Amino acid sequence: MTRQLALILALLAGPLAAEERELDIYGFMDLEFEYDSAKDISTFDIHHFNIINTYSFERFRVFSEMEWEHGPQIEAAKTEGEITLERGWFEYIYSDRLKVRGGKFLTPFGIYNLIHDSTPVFLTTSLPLIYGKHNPFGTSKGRLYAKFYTGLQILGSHATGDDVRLSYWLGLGNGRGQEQFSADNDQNKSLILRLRLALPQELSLGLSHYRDRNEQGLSGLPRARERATGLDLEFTRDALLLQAEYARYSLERAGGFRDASAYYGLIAYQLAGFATPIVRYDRFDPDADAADDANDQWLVGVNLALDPRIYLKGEWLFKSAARGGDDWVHLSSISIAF
Amino acid sequence: MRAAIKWAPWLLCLLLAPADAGAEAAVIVHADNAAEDISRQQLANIYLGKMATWERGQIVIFPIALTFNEPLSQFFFERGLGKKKGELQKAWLKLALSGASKAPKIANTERDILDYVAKNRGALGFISCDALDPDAHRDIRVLRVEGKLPREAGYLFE
Repeated sequence: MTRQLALILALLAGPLAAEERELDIYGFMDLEFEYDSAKDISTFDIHHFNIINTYSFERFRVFSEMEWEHGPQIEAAKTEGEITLERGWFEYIYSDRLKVRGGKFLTPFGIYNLIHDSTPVFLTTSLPLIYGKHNPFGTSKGRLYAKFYTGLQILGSHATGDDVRLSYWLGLGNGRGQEQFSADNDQNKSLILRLRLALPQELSLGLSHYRDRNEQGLSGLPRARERATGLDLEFTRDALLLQAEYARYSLERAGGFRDASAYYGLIAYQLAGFATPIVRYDRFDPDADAADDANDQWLVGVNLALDPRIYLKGEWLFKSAARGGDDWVHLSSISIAF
Repeated sequence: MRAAIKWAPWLLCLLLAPADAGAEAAVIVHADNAAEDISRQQLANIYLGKMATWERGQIVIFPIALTFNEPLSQFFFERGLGKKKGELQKAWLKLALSGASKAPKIANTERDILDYVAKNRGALGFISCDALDPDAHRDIRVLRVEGKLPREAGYLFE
Protein backbone atom coordinates (compact mmCIF):
# COMPACT_ATOMS: atom_id res chain seq x y z
CA MET A 1 0.00 0.00 0.00
CA THR A 2 2.85 2.35 0.92
CA ARG A 3 4.60 1.57 -2.36
CA GLN A 4 1.41 2.20 -4.31
CA LEU A 5 0.92 5.52 -2.55
CA ALA A 6 4.53 6.50 -3.22
CA LEU A 7 4.07 5.65 -6.90
CA ILE A 8 0.94 7.78 -7.14
CA LEU A 9 2.72 10.72 -5.46
CA ALA A 10 5.71 10.32 -7.76
CA LEU A 11 3.40 10.28 -10.78
CA LEU A 12 1.69 13.45 -9.69
CA ALA A 13 4.81 15.33 -8.69
CA GLY A 14 7.12 14.95 -11.69
CA PRO A 15 10.65 16.34 -11.65
CA LEU A 16 9.92 19.58 -13.47
CA ALA A 17 6.89 21.32 -14.83
CA ALA A 18 6.32 23.48 -17.87
CA GLU A 19 4.66 26.77 -17.12
CA GLU A 20 2.64 27.14 -20.29
CA ARG A 21 -1.13 27.40 -20.13
CA GLU A 22 -3.10 27.42 -23.34
CA LEU A 23 -6.74 27.35 -24.27
CA ASP A 24 -7.50 26.38 -27.85
CA ILE A 25 -10.94 26.44 -29.41
CA TYR A 26 -11.52 24.94 -32.84
CA GLY A 27 -13.83 22.53 -34.59
CA PHE A 28 -15.33 21.34 -37.84
CA MET A 29 -18.59 21.04 -39.70
CA ASP A 30 -19.88 19.31 -42.78
CA LEU A 31 -22.82 19.50 -45.11
CA GLU A 32 -23.89 16.27 -46.79
CA PHE A 33 -26.09 15.52 -49.76
CA GLU A 34 -27.46 12.00 -50.21
CA TYR A 35 -29.46 10.38 -52.98
CA ASP A 36 -30.80 6.86 -52.47
CA SER A 37 -31.74 5.15 -55.72
CA ALA A 38 -33.94 2.53 -54.08
CA LYS A 39 -36.10 5.09 -52.33
CA ASP A 40 -35.63 7.76 -55.01
CA ILE A 41 -35.21 10.43 -52.38
CA SER A 42 -32.51 12.96 -51.73
CA THR A 43 -31.64 15.05 -48.70
CA PHE A 44 -29.24 17.60 -47.31
CA ASP A 45 -27.90 17.17 -43.82
CA ILE A 46 -25.64 19.17 -41.53
CA HIS A 47 -24.29 15.89 -40.27
CA HIS A 48 -21.73 17.31 -37.86
CA PHE A 49 -21.13 20.64 -36.22
CA ASN A 50 -18.51 20.08 -33.55
CA ILE A 51 -16.71 22.48 -31.23
CA ILE A 52 -13.55 21.31 -29.51
CA ASN A 53 -11.83 22.94 -26.55
CA THR A 54 -8.44 21.96 -25.20
CA TYR A 55 -6.73 23.43 -22.18
CA SER A 56 -3.10 22.53 -21.58
CA PHE A 57 -1.29 23.39 -18.40
CA GLU A 58 1.88 21.92 -16.99
CA ARG A 59 1.45 18.14 -17.24
CA PHE A 60 -2.29 18.17 -17.79
CA ARG A 61 -4.57 18.50 -20.79
CA VAL A 62 -8.32 18.80 -20.74
CA PHE A 63 -10.14 17.97 -23.96
CA SER A 64 -13.82 18.36 -24.71
CA GLU A 65 -15.87 18.02 -27.87
CA MET A 66 -19.50 19.03 -28.19
CA GLU A 67 -21.39 17.73 -31.19
CA TRP A 68 -24.56 19.01 -32.78
CA GLU A 69 -25.40 16.12 -35.11
CA HIS A 70 -27.99 16.39 -37.90
CA GLY A 71 -28.67 20.08 -37.18
CA PRO A 72 -30.58 19.43 -33.98
CA GLN A 73 -33.78 21.22 -33.23
CA ILE A 74 -35.30 20.69 -29.85
CA GLU A 75 -38.87 21.72 -29.27
CA ALA A 76 -41.58 20.53 -26.96
CA ALA A 77 -43.50 18.75 -29.70
CA LYS A 78 -40.72 17.47 -31.89
CA THR A 79 -37.04 16.63 -31.60
CA GLU A 80 -34.53 16.08 -34.37
CA GLY A 81 -30.83 15.31 -34.26
CA GLU A 82 -28.56 14.96 -31.26
CA ILE A 83 -26.53 17.17 -28.98
CA THR A 84 -23.79 15.10 -27.44
CA LEU A 85 -20.71 15.47 -25.35
CA GLU A 86 -18.71 13.35 -27.79
CA ARG A 87 -15.58 13.41 -25.72
CA GLY A 88 -14.65 14.96 -22.40
CA TRP A 89 -11.46 13.88 -20.70
CA PHE A 90 -8.43 15.02 -18.78
CA GLU A 91 -4.95 13.68 -19.36
CA TYR A 92 -1.95 13.52 -17.08
CA ILE A 93 1.31 13.29 -19.03
CA TYR A 94 4.00 11.52 -17.04
CA SER A 95 6.09 10.74 -20.10
CA ASP A 96 5.57 9.63 -23.69
CA ARG A 97 5.40 6.08 -22.40
CA LEU A 98 2.78 6.77 -19.79
CA LYS A 99 -0.24 9.04 -20.00
CA VAL A 100 -3.34 8.57 -17.91
CA ARG A 101 -6.77 9.79 -18.97
CA GLY A 102 -10.12 9.89 -17.27
CA GLY A 103 -13.47 10.81 -18.76
CA LYS A 104 -15.49 9.93 -21.84
CA PHE A 105 -13.61 8.67 -24.89
CA LEU A 106 -14.03 7.34 -28.36
CA THR A 107 -13.18 3.65 -27.93
CA PRO A 108 -9.69 3.06 -29.34
CA PHE A 109 -10.62 0.38 -31.86
CA GLY A 110 -9.36 0.22 -35.44
CA ILE A 111 -8.13 3.01 -37.67
CA TYR A 112 -11.16 5.28 -37.65
CA ASN A 113 -12.80 5.13 -34.26
CA LEU A 114 -10.39 7.64 -32.70
CA ILE A 115 -11.48 10.17 -35.33
CA HIS A 116 -14.96 8.74 -35.82
CA ASP A 117 -16.83 11.94 -36.68
CA SER A 118 -13.91 14.16 -37.72
CA THR A 119 -14.82 14.21 -41.39
CA PRO A 120 -12.10 16.65 -42.51
CA VAL A 121 -9.41 14.07 -41.74
CA PHE A 122 -10.73 11.10 -43.65
CA LEU A 123 -11.20 10.75 -47.34
CA THR A 124 -14.77 9.52 -47.68
CA THR A 125 -18.12 10.77 -46.46
CA SER A 126 -19.25 7.32 -45.31
CA LEU A 127 -17.23 5.17 -42.95
CA PRO A 128 -16.63 1.48 -43.67
CA LEU A 129 -19.39 -0.96 -42.66
CA ILE A 130 -17.25 -2.14 -39.74
CA TYR A 131 -17.99 1.18 -38.04
CA GLY A 132 -21.73 1.21 -38.64
CA LYS A 133 -24.72 -0.07 -36.70
CA HIS A 134 -25.88 -3.55 -37.59
CA ASN A 135 -28.35 -6.15 -36.54
CA PRO A 136 -26.18 -9.26 -36.67
CA PHE A 137 -28.34 -11.70 -34.73
CA GLY A 138 -29.91 -9.64 -32.01
CA THR A 139 -33.12 -7.80 -31.41
CA SER A 140 -31.95 -4.29 -32.26
CA LYS A 141 -29.15 -2.53 -34.08
CA GLY A 142 -25.81 -1.92 -32.48
CA ARG A 143 -22.14 -1.47 -33.27
CA LEU A 144 -19.57 -4.22 -32.99
CA TYR A 145 -18.25 -2.41 -29.92
CA ALA A 146 -19.26 0.68 -27.97
CA LYS A 147 -18.42 3.80 -29.96
CA PHE A 148 -17.76 5.65 -26.68
CA TYR A 149 -17.00 4.64 -23.16
CA THR A 150 -16.68 6.39 -19.82
CA GLY A 151 -13.89 5.40 -17.51
CA LEU A 152 -10.13 5.34 -17.49
CA GLN A 153 -7.48 5.01 -20.14
CA ILE A 154 -3.75 4.39 -19.96
CA LEU A 155 -1.86 5.06 -23.14
CA GLY A 156 1.59 5.81 -24.46
CA SER A 157 4.16 4.89 -27.03
CA HIS A 158 7.65 3.51 -27.11
CA ALA A 159 10.02 4.11 -30.01
CA THR A 160 13.30 2.52 -31.00
CA GLY A 161 16.16 4.34 -32.70
CA ASP A 162 14.94 3.20 -36.09
CA ASP A 163 11.64 4.89 -35.42
CA VAL A 164 9.75 1.69 -34.99
CA ARG A 165 7.05 2.85 -32.62
CA LEU A 166 4.66 0.80 -30.53
CA SER A 167 1.62 2.72 -29.31
CA TYR A 168 -0.77 1.25 -26.77
CA TRP A 169 -4.10 2.02 -25.21
CA LEU A 170 -5.66 0.18 -22.29
CA GLY A 171 -9.13 1.19 -21.23
CA LEU A 172 -11.56 0.27 -18.49
CA GLY A 173 -15.06 1.68 -18.53
CA ASN A 174 -18.75 1.21 -18.06
CA GLY A 175 -20.10 -1.47 -20.29
CA ARG A 176 -22.86 -0.93 -22.80
CA GLY A 177 -26.06 -0.31 -20.92
CA GLN A 178 -29.07 1.93 -20.88
CA GLU A 179 -27.16 4.69 -19.07
CA GLN A 180 -23.65 3.74 -19.91
CA PHE A 181 -22.14 7.21 -19.38
CA SER A 182 -23.52 7.90 -15.93
CA ALA A 183 -24.68 4.68 -14.30
CA ASP A 184 -23.21 1.27 -14.94
CA ASN A 185 -25.67 -1.27 -13.64
CA ASP A 186 -23.97 -4.52 -14.48
CA GLN A 187 -21.29 -6.30 -12.50
CA ASN A 188 -18.59 -6.16 -15.16
CA LYS A 189 -16.72 -3.37 -16.84
CA SER A 190 -15.80 -3.09 -20.49
CA LEU A 191 -12.15 -3.73 -21.24
CA ILE A 192 -10.41 -2.24 -24.26
CA LEU A 193 -6.94 -2.90 -25.60
CA ARG A 194 -5.33 -1.49 -28.71
CA LEU A 195 -1.78 -1.94 -29.98
CA ARG A 196 -0.40 -0.16 -33.00
CA LEU A 197 3.01 -0.89 -34.43
CA ALA A 198 4.35 1.81 -36.75
CA LEU A 199 7.20 0.56 -38.89
CA PRO A 200 9.56 2.51 -41.15
CA GLN A 201 8.31 3.13 -44.70
CA GLU A 202 4.97 4.38 -43.34
CA LEU A 203 3.54 0.95 -42.62
CA SER A 204 1.50 0.38 -39.50
CA LEU A 205 -0.25 -2.64 -38.06
CA GLY A 206 -2.94 -2.57 -35.39
CA LEU A 207 -4.70 -4.98 -33.06
CA SER A 208 -7.82 -4.03 -31.10
CA HIS A 209 -9.90 -5.94 -28.58
CA TYR A 210 -13.10 -5.03 -26.77
CA ARG A 211 -15.05 -7.09 -24.27
CA ASP A 212 -18.08 -6.30 -22.24
CA ARG A 213 -21.38 -7.47 -20.86
CA ASN A 214 -24.04 -5.86 -22.97
CA GLU A 215 -27.07 -4.62 -21.08
CA GLN A 216 -28.85 -3.19 -24.08
CA GLY A 217 -30.75 -6.36 -24.77
CA LEU A 218 -29.22 -6.86 -28.21
CA SER A 219 -29.48 -10.62 -28.05
CA GLY A 220 -32.43 -11.00 -25.74
CA LEU A 221 -30.23 -11.77 -22.75
CA PRO A 222 -30.15 -9.11 -20.02
CA ARG A 223 -26.37 -9.25 -19.61
CA ALA A 224 -24.97 -10.82 -22.74
CA ARG A 225 -21.25 -11.28 -22.93
CA GLU A 226 -19.77 -9.75 -26.06
CA ARG A 227 -16.33 -9.32 -27.52
CA ALA A 228 -14.83 -7.86 -30.67
CA THR A 229 -11.34 -8.28 -32.06
CA GLY A 230 -9.94 -6.32 -34.96
CA LEU A 231 -6.82 -6.22 -37.11
CA ASP A 232 -5.85 -3.26 -39.24
CA LEU A 233 -3.14 -2.27 -41.68
CA GLU A 234 -2.24 1.10 -43.12
CA PHE A 235 0.43 1.89 -45.68
CA THR A 236 1.33 5.20 -47.25
CA ARG A 237 3.99 5.83 -49.83
CA ASP A 238 4.10 9.30 -51.36
CA ALA A 239 0.63 9.79 -52.83
CA LEU A 240 -0.56 6.21 -52.28
CA LEU A 241 -2.72 5.11 -49.35
CA LEU A 242 -3.72 1.52 -48.60
CA GLN A 243 -5.96 0.55 -45.70
CA ALA A 244 -7.51 -2.71 -44.62
CA GLU A 245 -9.36 -3.82 -41.51
CA TYR A 246 -10.97 -6.99 -40.28
CA ALA A 247 -13.14 -7.36 -37.18
CA ARG A 248 -14.89 -10.35 -35.64
CA TYR A 249 -17.68 -9.93 -33.14
CA SER A 250 -19.14 -12.51 -30.76
CA LEU A 251 -22.36 -12.07 -28.82
CA GLU A 252 -23.81 -14.44 -26.24
CA ARG A 253 -27.27 -15.75 -26.92
CA ALA A 254 -29.39 -18.34 -25.18
CA GLY A 255 -27.82 -21.09 -27.27
CA GLY A 256 -24.23 -19.90 -26.93
CA PHE A 257 -22.02 -17.43 -28.77
CA ARG A 258 -22.71 -16.35 -32.33
CA ASP A 259 -20.17 -14.61 -34.54
CA ALA A 260 -20.36 -11.80 -37.05
CA SER A 261 -17.47 -10.42 -39.07
CA ALA A 262 -16.65 -7.50 -41.31
CA TYR A 263 -13.74 -6.28 -43.39
CA TYR A 264 -12.81 -3.70 -45.96
CA GLY A 265 -9.94 -2.71 -48.19
CA LEU A 266 -9.30 0.81 -49.46
CA ILE A 267 -6.92 2.19 -52.06
CA ALA A 268 -6.45 5.89 -52.77
CA TYR A 269 -3.95 7.87 -54.77
CA GLN A 270 -3.54 11.63 -54.64
CA LEU A 271 -3.18 13.35 -58.00
CA ALA A 272 -1.75 16.83 -58.57
CA GLY A 273 -1.50 17.33 -54.82
CA PHE A 274 -5.21 17.79 -54.20
CA ALA A 275 -7.47 15.26 -55.98
CA THR A 276 -7.67 11.79 -54.46
CA PRO A 277 -9.66 9.05 -56.21
CA ILE A 278 -10.74 6.29 -53.83
CA VAL A 279 -11.96 2.74 -54.23
CA ARG A 280 -13.17 0.73 -51.24
CA TYR A 281 -14.71 -2.71 -50.88
CA ASP A 282 -16.74 -3.54 -47.76
CA ARG A 283 -18.24 -6.77 -46.57
CA PHE A 284 -20.31 -7.47 -43.51
CA ASP A 285 -21.35 -10.99 -42.56
CA PRO A 286 -24.01 -10.79 -39.83
CA ASP A 287 -23.89 -14.47 -38.91
CA ALA A 288 -20.92 -16.74 -39.50
CA ASP A 289 -23.14 -19.82 -39.24
CA ALA A 290 -25.65 -18.72 -41.87
CA ALA A 291 -24.89 -18.92 -45.57
CA ASP A 292 -25.58 -16.20 -48.15
CA ASP A 293 -26.51 -13.50 -45.68
CA ALA A 294 -23.56 -11.15 -46.17
CA ASN A 295 -23.89 -7.56 -47.32
CA ASP A 296 -21.19 -6.06 -49.45
CA GLN A 297 -20.63 -2.78 -51.22
CA TRP A 298 -18.20 -1.03 -53.51
CA LEU A 299 -17.38 2.60 -53.01
CA VAL A 300 -15.97 4.73 -55.81
CA GLY A 301 -15.28 8.33 -54.99
CA VAL A 302 -13.01 11.33 -55.02
CA ASN A 303 -11.76 13.71 -52.34
CA LEU A 304 -10.74 17.21 -53.38
CA ALA A 305 -8.55 19.16 -50.94
CA LEU A 306 -9.52 22.74 -51.76
CA ASP A 307 -7.41 23.86 -48.81
CA PRO A 308 -5.78 21.90 -45.97
CA ARG A 309 -8.94 22.72 -43.99
CA ILE A 310 -11.61 22.36 -46.69
CA TYR A 311 -12.50 19.08 -48.41
CA LEU A 312 -15.06 18.40 -51.09
CA LYS A 313 -16.07 14.75 -51.38
CA GLY A 314 -18.19 12.77 -53.80
CA GLU A 315 -18.83 9.02 -53.76
CA TRP A 316 -21.10 6.31 -55.07
CA LEU A 317 -21.90 3.27 -52.98
CA PHE A 318 -23.00 0.23 -54.93
CA LYS A 319 -24.69 -2.04 -52.43
CA SER A 320 -25.43 -5.69 -52.83
CA ALA A 321 -27.56 -6.87 -49.94
CA ALA A 322 -28.11 -10.60 -49.74
CA ARG A 323 -31.75 -10.31 -48.82
CA GLY A 324 -32.61 -6.84 -49.97
CA GLY A 325 -31.73 -6.46 -53.63
CA ASP A 326 -29.23 -4.13 -55.25
CA ASP A 327 -29.15 -0.45 -54.55
CA TRP A 328 -26.86 2.49 -55.04
CA VAL A 329 -26.43 5.64 -53.05
CA HIS A 330 -24.70 8.87 -53.93
CA LEU A 331 -23.12 10.90 -51.16
CA SER A 332 -21.36 14.19 -51.49
CA SER A 333 -20.22 16.54 -48.78
CA ILE A 334 -18.08 19.46 -47.89
CA SER A 335 -16.06 19.29 -44.66
CA ILE A 336 -14.53 22.38 -43.13
CA ALA A 337 -12.22 22.58 -40.14
CA PHE A 338 -12.02 25.87 -38.31
CA MET B 1 32.10 30.80 -17.28
CA ARG B 2 28.61 29.39 -17.37
CA ALA B 3 27.36 32.54 -19.10
CA ALA B 4 30.08 32.24 -21.70
CA ILE B 5 29.05 28.67 -22.45
CA LYS B 6 25.43 29.74 -22.64
CA TRP B 7 26.20 32.53 -25.08
CA ALA B 8 28.65 30.59 -27.20
CA PRO B 9 26.04 29.39 -29.72
CA TRP B 10 24.72 32.91 -30.14
CA LEU B 11 28.15 34.36 -30.68
CA LEU B 12 29.07 31.60 -33.09
CA CYS B 13 25.93 32.26 -35.04
CA LEU B 14 26.61 36.00 -35.22
CA LEU B 15 30.34 36.03 -35.74
CA LEU B 16 30.40 33.40 -38.44
CA ALA B 17 27.40 34.75 -40.26
CA PRO B 18 28.02 35.18 -43.97
CA ALA B 19 26.91 38.35 -45.69
CA ASP B 20 23.80 36.70 -47.16
CA ALA B 21 22.74 35.07 -43.92
CA GLY B 22 19.03 34.77 -43.22
CA ALA B 23 17.82 31.32 -44.21
CA GLU B 24 19.73 29.48 -41.50
CA ALA B 25 17.47 28.27 -38.76
CA ALA B 26 18.40 27.90 -35.12
CA VAL B 27 16.46 25.56 -32.83
CA ILE B 28 15.81 27.26 -29.52
CA VAL B 29 14.60 26.25 -26.08
CA HIS B 30 14.24 27.92 -22.69
CA ALA B 31 17.55 28.48 -20.89
CA ASP B 32 16.43 26.20 -18.04
CA ASN B 33 15.96 23.26 -20.37
CA ALA B 34 18.61 20.64 -19.70
CA ALA B 35 18.76 19.48 -23.32
CA GLU B 36 21.94 20.32 -25.25
CA ASP B 37 21.46 18.43 -28.47
CA ILE B 38 18.53 17.27 -30.53
CA SER B 39 18.39 14.82 -33.40
CA ARG B 40 16.54 15.28 -36.65
CA GLN B 41 14.32 12.37 -35.70
CA GLN B 42 13.44 13.98 -32.38
CA LEU B 43 12.57 17.23 -34.12
CA ALA B 44 10.31 15.34 -36.49
CA ASN B 45 8.71 13.45 -33.61
CA ILE B 46 8.08 16.67 -31.67
CA TYR B 47 6.49 18.52 -34.58
CA LEU B 48 4.44 15.48 -35.60
CA GLY B 49 3.06 15.01 -32.10
CA LYS B 50 4.85 11.72 -31.40
CA MET B 51 7.12 13.09 -28.68
CA ALA B 52 5.44 15.10 -25.92
CA THR B 53 8.12 15.12 -23.23
CA TRP B 54 11.87 15.56 -23.10
CA GLU B 55 14.10 12.66 -22.14
CA ARG B 56 12.92 10.82 -19.03
CA GLY B 57 9.73 12.87 -19.11
CA GLN B 58 11.33 15.85 -17.39
CA ILE B 59 9.33 18.58 -19.13
CA VAL B 60 6.25 18.51 -21.32
CA ILE B 61 7.14 19.98 -24.71
CA PHE B 62 5.20 22.92 -26.09
CA PRO B 63 6.30 23.24 -29.71
CA ILE B 64 5.83 26.47 -31.63
CA ALA B 65 6.27 27.04 -35.35
CA LEU B 66 6.45 30.03 -37.61
CA THR B 67 3.54 30.47 -40.01
CA PHE B 68 3.95 28.71 -43.34
CA ASN B 69 3.73 32.08 -45.07
CA GLU B 70 7.35 32.65 -44.03
CA PRO B 71 10.02 31.00 -46.22
CA LEU B 72 12.00 30.08 -43.10
CA SER B 73 9.17 27.82 -41.97
CA GLN B 74 8.99 25.97 -45.29
CA PHE B 75 12.79 25.63 -45.29
CA PHE B 76 12.83 24.26 -41.73
CA PHE B 77 10.15 21.65 -42.26
CA GLU B 78 11.32 20.50 -45.67
CA ARG B 79 14.94 20.23 -44.54
CA GLY B 80 14.29 18.90 -41.08
CA LEU B 81 11.19 16.77 -41.47
CA GLY B 82 11.05 16.20 -45.21
CA LYS B 83 7.46 17.47 -45.08
CA LYS B 84 5.71 20.04 -47.18
CA LYS B 85 3.18 22.59 -46.02
CA GLY B 86 0.07 20.62 -47.00
CA GLU B 87 1.30 17.38 -45.42
CA LEU B 88 2.07 19.07 -42.12
CA GLN B 89 -1.15 21.03 -42.01
CA LYS B 90 -3.05 17.80 -42.56
CA ALA B 91 -1.05 15.99 -39.86
CA TRP B 92 -1.63 18.83 -37.39
CA LEU B 93 -5.33 18.88 -38.17
CA LYS B 94 -5.50 15.16 -37.41
CA LEU B 95 -3.63 15.68 -34.13
CA ALA B 96 -5.99 18.46 -33.11
CA LEU B 97 -9.20 16.65 -34.03
CA SER B 98 -8.20 13.25 -32.63
CA GLY B 99 -6.84 14.75 -29.42
CA ALA B 100 -3.85 12.43 -29.73
CA SER B 101 -1.39 15.15 -28.87
CA LYS B 102 -1.04 18.89 -28.79
CA ALA B 103 -0.53 20.37 -32.24
CA PRO B 104 2.21 23.02 -32.48
CA LYS B 105 1.27 26.60 -31.76
CA ILE B 106 1.59 28.82 -34.83
CA ALA B 107 3.35 32.18 -34.50
CA ASN B 108 3.11 35.02 -36.97
CA THR B 109 6.58 36.43 -36.31
CA GLU B 110 9.95 35.32 -35.01
CA ARG B 111 9.53 37.84 -32.21
CA ASP B 112 6.45 35.90 -31.06
CA ILE B 113 8.50 32.70 -30.99
CA LEU B 114 11.28 34.31 -28.97
CA ASP B 115 8.79 35.68 -26.45
CA TYR B 116 6.98 32.34 -26.18
CA VAL B 117 10.16 30.31 -25.67
CA ALA B 118 11.54 32.81 -23.17
CA LYS B 119 8.44 32.45 -21.01
CA ASN B 120 7.95 28.69 -21.14
CA ARG B 121 10.38 26.09 -19.89
CA GLY B 122 8.97 23.36 -22.10
CA ALA B 123 8.85 25.39 -25.31
CA LEU B 124 10.80 24.55 -28.44
CA GLY B 125 10.88 26.70 -31.57
CA PHE B 126 13.01 27.81 -34.47
CA ILE B 127 14.10 31.21 -35.72
CA SER B 128 16.59 32.55 -38.20
CA CYS B 129 20.10 33.20 -36.93
CA ASP B 130 19.58 36.88 -37.73
CA ALA B 131 16.90 37.11 -35.08
CA LEU B 132 19.26 36.00 -32.32
CA ASP B 133 20.15 38.64 -29.76
CA PRO B 134 21.88 37.27 -26.65
CA ASP B 135 21.49 40.53 -24.76
CA ALA B 136 17.77 40.71 -25.31
CA HIS B 137 17.01 37.02 -24.85
CA ARG B 138 18.91 35.73 -21.88
CA ASP B 139 16.23 33.11 -21.20
CA ILE B 140 16.81 31.32 -24.49
CA ARG B 141 19.38 28.77 -25.59
CA VAL B 142 20.27 27.41 -29.00
CA LEU B 143 20.31 23.63 -29.29
CA ARG B 144 22.82 21.63 -31.24
CA VAL B 145 21.15 19.67 -34.04
CA GLU B 146 22.79 16.30 -34.65
CA GLY B 147 25.74 17.60 -32.61
CA LYS B 148 26.25 20.81 -34.61
CA LEU B 149 25.50 24.45 -33.94
CA PRO B 150 24.37 26.93 -36.57
CA ARG B 151 27.14 27.95 -38.96
CA GLU B 152 29.23 24.89 -38.15
CA ALA B 153 30.12 22.78 -41.14
CA GLY B 154 27.45 20.21 -41.89
CA TYR B 155 24.75 21.93 -39.81
CA LEU B 156 21.35 20.61 -40.89
CA PHE B 157 19.62 23.95 -41.32
CA GLU B 158 22.32 25.93 -43.11
